[in-house]
Amino acid sequence: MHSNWKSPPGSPWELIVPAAMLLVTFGLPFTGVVDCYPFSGAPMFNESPRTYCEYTAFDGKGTVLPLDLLGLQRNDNGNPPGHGHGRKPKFSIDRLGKVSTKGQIEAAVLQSLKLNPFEVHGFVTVKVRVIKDLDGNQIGEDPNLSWIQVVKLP
Amino acid sequence: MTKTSQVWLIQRHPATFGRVFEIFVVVWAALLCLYLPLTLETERVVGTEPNIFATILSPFRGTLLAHPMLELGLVIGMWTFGALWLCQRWLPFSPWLSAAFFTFAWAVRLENMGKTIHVSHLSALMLWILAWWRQTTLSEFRLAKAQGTPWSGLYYPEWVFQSCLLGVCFFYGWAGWSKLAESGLDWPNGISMQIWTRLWGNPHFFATQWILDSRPLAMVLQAMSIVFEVFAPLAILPRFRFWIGLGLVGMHLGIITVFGWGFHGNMIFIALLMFPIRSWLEEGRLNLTFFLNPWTSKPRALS
Repeated sequence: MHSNWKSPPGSPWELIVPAAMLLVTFGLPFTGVVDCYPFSGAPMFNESPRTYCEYTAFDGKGTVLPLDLLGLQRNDNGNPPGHGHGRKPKFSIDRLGKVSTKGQIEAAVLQSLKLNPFEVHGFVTVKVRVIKDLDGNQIGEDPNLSWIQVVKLP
Repeated sequence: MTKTSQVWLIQRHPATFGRVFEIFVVVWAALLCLYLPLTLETERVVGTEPNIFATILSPFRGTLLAHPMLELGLVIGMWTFGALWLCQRWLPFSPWLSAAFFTFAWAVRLENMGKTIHVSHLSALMLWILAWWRQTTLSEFRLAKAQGTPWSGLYYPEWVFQSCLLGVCFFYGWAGWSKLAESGLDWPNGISMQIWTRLWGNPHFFATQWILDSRPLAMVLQAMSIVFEVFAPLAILPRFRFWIGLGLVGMHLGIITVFGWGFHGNMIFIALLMFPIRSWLEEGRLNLTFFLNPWTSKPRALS
């Protein structure tokens, strides 16, 4: 099939660019740098969470409050946070694999409302649903671990 | 020089596969760029603190890098030079500029995001390798064009195919190894798969409910994913290539249908590089003449 091959053979410098690109792609994670676009250690979904929390928040009148104003929004998108993005995400205590304490939730709500002045009637009610393994076959809300807490505003 | 690298350098193949692969890479890169203006308002984070080093543009962080018009300009640049590349015009500059505009457009986006995504990394790598291919074989391409065989001329070096393949192998290899390093052998526990599916799965797709209803199914899918990723570098060896490719394509079909994430391009790259498409084309078992002929220029006299 290559009997009519007339192209001149390549010189070693043809390999310089691909070799450099591949060397960085392969070697970057060894330096401790997880992500430096366009190079990456491909850390997507490398964490394996077994639990997480679903938050809902209301004010004293029963109005649903945006979670990102209370520091309870989900920043996770499957990639380990902190790597491969140039800005820090908006503050949140939500993290896949972790269940925050009542104290952490209260502190997050108070701190966030201080930073994001927002009209809240009376107090903030936070409903925390803890999702985990239920029966060895499915995941769902564990009612024994879930709770509702009221954060009183100063 | 080793025998392998000599073969990679010297061996030239008919360019048909390379040109088809090139079309897929450039078109996919252009589509990925379309994502940027569509999400300009929703994905960029404004006013938060700078994060650690994240892209090759991180040393140049400042007001200009945060300006949305810069991102739009880079996208338009990628489209322009990508179109010129596809039309085989202004070579080898159009491939270089297309690769550069694509890489910088996505780097600017990631510099202004509060979380990352990994849909564009492999495309960037492929673009740079292909740009270098067009640079190093420009005279051979011109000769083939003059002979009326711009699609099938012998100007596709073995190293282009092997470099693209190695890029895919390393990317997916690291995806598997980082899971093992972070979570160990417990990674495919099925619970995490069900959590991701509950959070981000398409509720209208039948497999989503199957995964949520069955831990064993979730564990099997997760285990298969990590096995194919960890052993992805074995695809360098021809005897394993098809099976690794089949597994990775299957994994991507699952990711795309259940989660809807934009890894379509990666899946096509894997299929083109790991399935025997190149040998089918070279042996004539897959004939694209009908599709490629309209773009084949008539031969002209050699000057």
